[in-house]
Amino acid sequence: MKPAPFAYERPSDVAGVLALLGDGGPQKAILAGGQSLVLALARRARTPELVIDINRIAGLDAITVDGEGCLVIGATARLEEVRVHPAVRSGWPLIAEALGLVANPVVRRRGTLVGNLSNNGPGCEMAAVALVLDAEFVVERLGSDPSRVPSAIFLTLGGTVGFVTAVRFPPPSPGGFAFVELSRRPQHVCTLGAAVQLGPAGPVIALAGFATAIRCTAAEHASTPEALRAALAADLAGAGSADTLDEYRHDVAAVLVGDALAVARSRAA
Amino acid sequence: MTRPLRFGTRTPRREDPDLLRGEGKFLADLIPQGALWLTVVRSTDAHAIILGLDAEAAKAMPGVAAIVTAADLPAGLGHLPCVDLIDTSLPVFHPVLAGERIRYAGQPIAAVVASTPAQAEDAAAAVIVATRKLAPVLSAADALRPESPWLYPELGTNAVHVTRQLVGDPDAAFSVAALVVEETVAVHRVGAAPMEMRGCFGEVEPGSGRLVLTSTTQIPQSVRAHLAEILTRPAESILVRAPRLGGGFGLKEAMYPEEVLVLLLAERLGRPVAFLEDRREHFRSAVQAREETIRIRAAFAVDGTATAVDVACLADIGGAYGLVANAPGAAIANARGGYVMPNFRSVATSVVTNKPPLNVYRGAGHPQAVLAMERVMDKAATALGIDRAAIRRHNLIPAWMLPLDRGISYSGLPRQILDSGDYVHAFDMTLEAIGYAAFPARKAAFEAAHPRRKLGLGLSFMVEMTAVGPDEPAEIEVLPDGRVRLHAALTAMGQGIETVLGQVVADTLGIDLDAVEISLADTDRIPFAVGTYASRGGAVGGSAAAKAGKALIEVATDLGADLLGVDRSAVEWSEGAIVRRDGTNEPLPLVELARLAASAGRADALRASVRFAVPDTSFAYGAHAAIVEVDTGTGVVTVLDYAVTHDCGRLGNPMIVDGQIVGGVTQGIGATLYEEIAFDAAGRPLTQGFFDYPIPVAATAPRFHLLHLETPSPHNPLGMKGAGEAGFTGTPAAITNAVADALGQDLPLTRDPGPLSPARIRALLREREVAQAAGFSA
Amino acid sequence: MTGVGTNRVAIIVDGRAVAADVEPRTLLADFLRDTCGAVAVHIGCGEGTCGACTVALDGIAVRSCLMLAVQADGGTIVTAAGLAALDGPPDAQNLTPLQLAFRAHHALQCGFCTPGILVATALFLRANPHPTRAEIVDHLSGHLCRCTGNVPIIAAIEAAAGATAP
Ligand code: FES
Ligand code: FES
Repeated sequence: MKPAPFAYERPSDVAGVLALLGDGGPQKAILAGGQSLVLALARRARTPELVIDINRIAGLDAITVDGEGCLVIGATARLEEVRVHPAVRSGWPLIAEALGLVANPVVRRRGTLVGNLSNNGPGCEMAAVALVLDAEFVVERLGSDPSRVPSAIFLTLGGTVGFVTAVRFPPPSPGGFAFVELSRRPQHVCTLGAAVQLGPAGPVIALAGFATAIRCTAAEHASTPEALRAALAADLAGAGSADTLDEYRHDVAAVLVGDALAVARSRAA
Repeated sequence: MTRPLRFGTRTPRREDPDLLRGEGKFLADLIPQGALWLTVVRSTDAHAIILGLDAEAAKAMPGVAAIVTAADLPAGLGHLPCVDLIDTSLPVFHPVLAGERIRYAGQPIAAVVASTPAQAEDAAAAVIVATRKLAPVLSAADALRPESPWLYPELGTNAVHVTRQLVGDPDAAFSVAALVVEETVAVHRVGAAPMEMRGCFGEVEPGSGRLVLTSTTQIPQSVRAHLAEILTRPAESILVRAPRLGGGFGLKEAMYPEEVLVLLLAERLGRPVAFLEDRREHFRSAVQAREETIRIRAAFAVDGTATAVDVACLADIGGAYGLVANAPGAAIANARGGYVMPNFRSVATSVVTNKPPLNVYRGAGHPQAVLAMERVMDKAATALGIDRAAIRRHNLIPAWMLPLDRGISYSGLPRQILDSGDYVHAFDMTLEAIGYAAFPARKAAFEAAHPRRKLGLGLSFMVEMTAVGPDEPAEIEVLPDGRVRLHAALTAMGQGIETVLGQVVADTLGIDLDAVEISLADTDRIPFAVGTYASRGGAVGGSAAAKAGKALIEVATDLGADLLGVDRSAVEWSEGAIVRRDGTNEPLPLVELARLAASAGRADALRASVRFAVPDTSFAYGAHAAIVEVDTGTGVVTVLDYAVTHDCGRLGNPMIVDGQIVGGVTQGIGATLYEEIAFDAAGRPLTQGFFDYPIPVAATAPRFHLLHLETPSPHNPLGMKGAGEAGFTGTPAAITNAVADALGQDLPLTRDPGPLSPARIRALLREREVAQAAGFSA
Repeated sequence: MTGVGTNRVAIIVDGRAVAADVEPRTLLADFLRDTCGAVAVHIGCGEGTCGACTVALDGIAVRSCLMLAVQADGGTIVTAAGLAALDGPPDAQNLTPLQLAFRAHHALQCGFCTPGILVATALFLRANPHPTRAEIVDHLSGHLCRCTGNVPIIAAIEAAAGATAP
């Protein structure tokens, strides 16, 4: 549990990161909160030649609402800072609720939202939230303008697309919301999590827990418990396997989504 | 006049201030500067033949001091020990390093020593091991199938150790029984998972050349004796020390290859060599526990009297013996627990499989045996239409029947004579504490308000060997400043032993607790003792301490009379001082006596060395009850209330005893609901760390209701029995029974191994729904 | 080790300045224990799950096993050995009110988990002097204790919070 040797750089601006990152690849690792990366290094699951520490880049930790009313969360903004941020709590409460279930308070104070989503590990709650809220990722690469990558694409590519400087959430749709999850033990890694946001067009639903988070569009149109069960079966038909608990996930998805919808509707009322 | 006794009070713990300031002096804090670091290359295959090992490139890496494989070990080096062998046990011993055959993923293959831990890991990663994989055997049942490979082909079987018990005539009782209940109880593999992992370091003592091992062990004296055999050198040339442990729970009541390796390598390299386990390694190289399948059959009369029990236990002991060959066997011999059940038969078979070795963990085989028996009680109550509490009360051994010889004899264990107590009374206290009578109303109200959720109440009763012998040493001495130092052979691992022993010595001598120092687990001081396990520390260690204190009073009084120039009969010991019986003169306090003795050149006289012989085992017992809530939609089980009435004899320190019970129950909750060490189909461990091994946290704590009875043990002067394992022992049964009560006694909760996880509960409920839909339901 | 070099790390640990050249791969927990002699930093998992290695870095609780030493360069660290810097004044035995509450409630057995819990809890109570039981339970979600069953730890924190009531 000691990392293999690597070199370490601590650039002071984004340009410095891009220069060091070059074409990226497994030989380069970006160190933000480090709550996943350092463990991967210690277990030698990752053995990069260069670790690029972005923690001292000024301004990268900003949490702001931009001119278009979007919530923009910088690459080094800590999970806990996002969770308690007044703008997040009032405008995007689903984010705050889900963050309360991510890891634990100490890890949340260090880990970053962008890092959490870039890793998109098993049971990543925020991936489901990103799908529901239609988040996009601001990605910079050497020699090109920043691009915006939608969640649906980003979550399958992960941190390989370039240097993610921020995640952006569109303006809020006022309505009930809920994030509920199941785990092997309370406060443990999420086995299955349901994110629900009610909007003018009805509920938006996504599930975390399978190989990656899944937007459940069929379920969004189901009106009875039986219909929900059938719709989720369709939504999850192609879900990638996470571990030995897949059968359980399929079994309880309808119950969990039903619970989340009930909570969301009680809040909308 | 008399000072208040410390014994029996909630004396704050003496070990706390150091620990709270982070000055605990755990093993990792003691590693000498300049030590080299050992990393072990472990097998990634579960079952394989080693074809070749190439360490040449690794040897050339920076900082590497040595790389050692089985071929490099000294000729004649022994294997790891096993202490409960019988005539028919087959030889399946754990080698220090695997030679030809690998029998579990995680088994040590080579030792790499380098200047830093990171360099040792760098080199370990460069050691190339070529293997030919063999089909793995991953359960005891598989291991017994005729087509399964043998782990030790020369033995011609995978069943390596069998023990049997017979009391009365069970067959006759079964033939006339009104009801025969049969149950299969499969218990999964878990680990003690103490927060401090394993570690050790070896040194060569300058001058004497003695080998000095410092290790996270609960049994330093035994480790010394075993090392002498393994290394074929006199025990006098080996010294073993155990610092404070960050939890033990039986995981450190074992012998590990690294304990041998650090000594061999320290001697070879002329420098201290240290080993610290990491958490991923822990889940494949530290001993594991509990995995066994019990088939139990019990005969009942119509009135609910259990007349006979027949149990067969198949333990999956992994690739080689742990320190004990058959942890479940000893407990299965006691499967009747606190119930009369005059006729009894048991057979316990240990089977080798391609998993890490199985050893003891808090309660050893008792929790599994209690689970089996208590499932039978519930099933019998249901079948006979008798209340669950009533059938247990009916079968519990009444107080007048104690002491009761169970007619069991088990290799390496003393006679099984249940000594004292009032089982029925304890059981009734627990019923009261859990609200048994009011429970149906509570359940009905709750379930009416929560359609998807069910409440259940489960009961269990446990009896357990504690305070086991054969004996326990202690030494006591008066220091020049008049303070008293007790040397005990026990290991401190969180159980407050320094406080309890201090209380006993202070009381015995009539001195302040602060004037007593405790020194532990140093084989230089006390070379021979059995160790700290089986809930024995407080009772037998305390009794030895009391005996040492009394012996010290004798020699001090003798010396005092001598130094004062008076007749021995003119003085006596009182409140830490020598006083004249006639009341004349000032008392001569210990500190003065020490000074006088020193100036007379007789300081050496103020010491005593004793051995407390344990006449017989004390059996602690307890009645447990749990209330759980089960969400049938998600399968989530939540423990709401937990009640224990326990009788561990006199309570030396009630605060510490409560801590042991709550801690033990909590581990039992973890093992029953959350924890499992799992393997993939190739036998590779799926459990990498706490991410995959969720132990209980604050959020899983139930409301506790703790009660005590204090029936003094007749077998030691303090009247203590043990409490260390009691919490765990009754818990799997109480919780499993509570879940069965919530979901229906027909649900086969114990048919398959595994915790009662949300996924398992749902799978069982689905299976029942399918069966009911198909019209198969009873 | 070609090409990776070493980095200068200068930190203050429990009021003591320490500077050393370390390989970038050196974990903060190892640096604190091996180079700074801060043995109150306990390593219970090395994977960020147990919380035993928790220290305060510039007033924020961090897992020292999930940080590189070089990341802490220039920082100020408090371990359980210097808890008074985060908690109330210590008594004659050098125990702070929080430590005394742990002792009074038998909230430690082997004491291996304790230093991390103390540091995290002192910071938690600073931010939230009067937590509810649910907030305490949530706070403890990042700390594993195998001995106590956690109930006494909750009780000790409740008592410590009560003792500082305005
Ligand atoms: S050692 Fe860092 S969290 Fe366990
Ligand atoms: S007191 Fe031992 S782990 Fe917490």
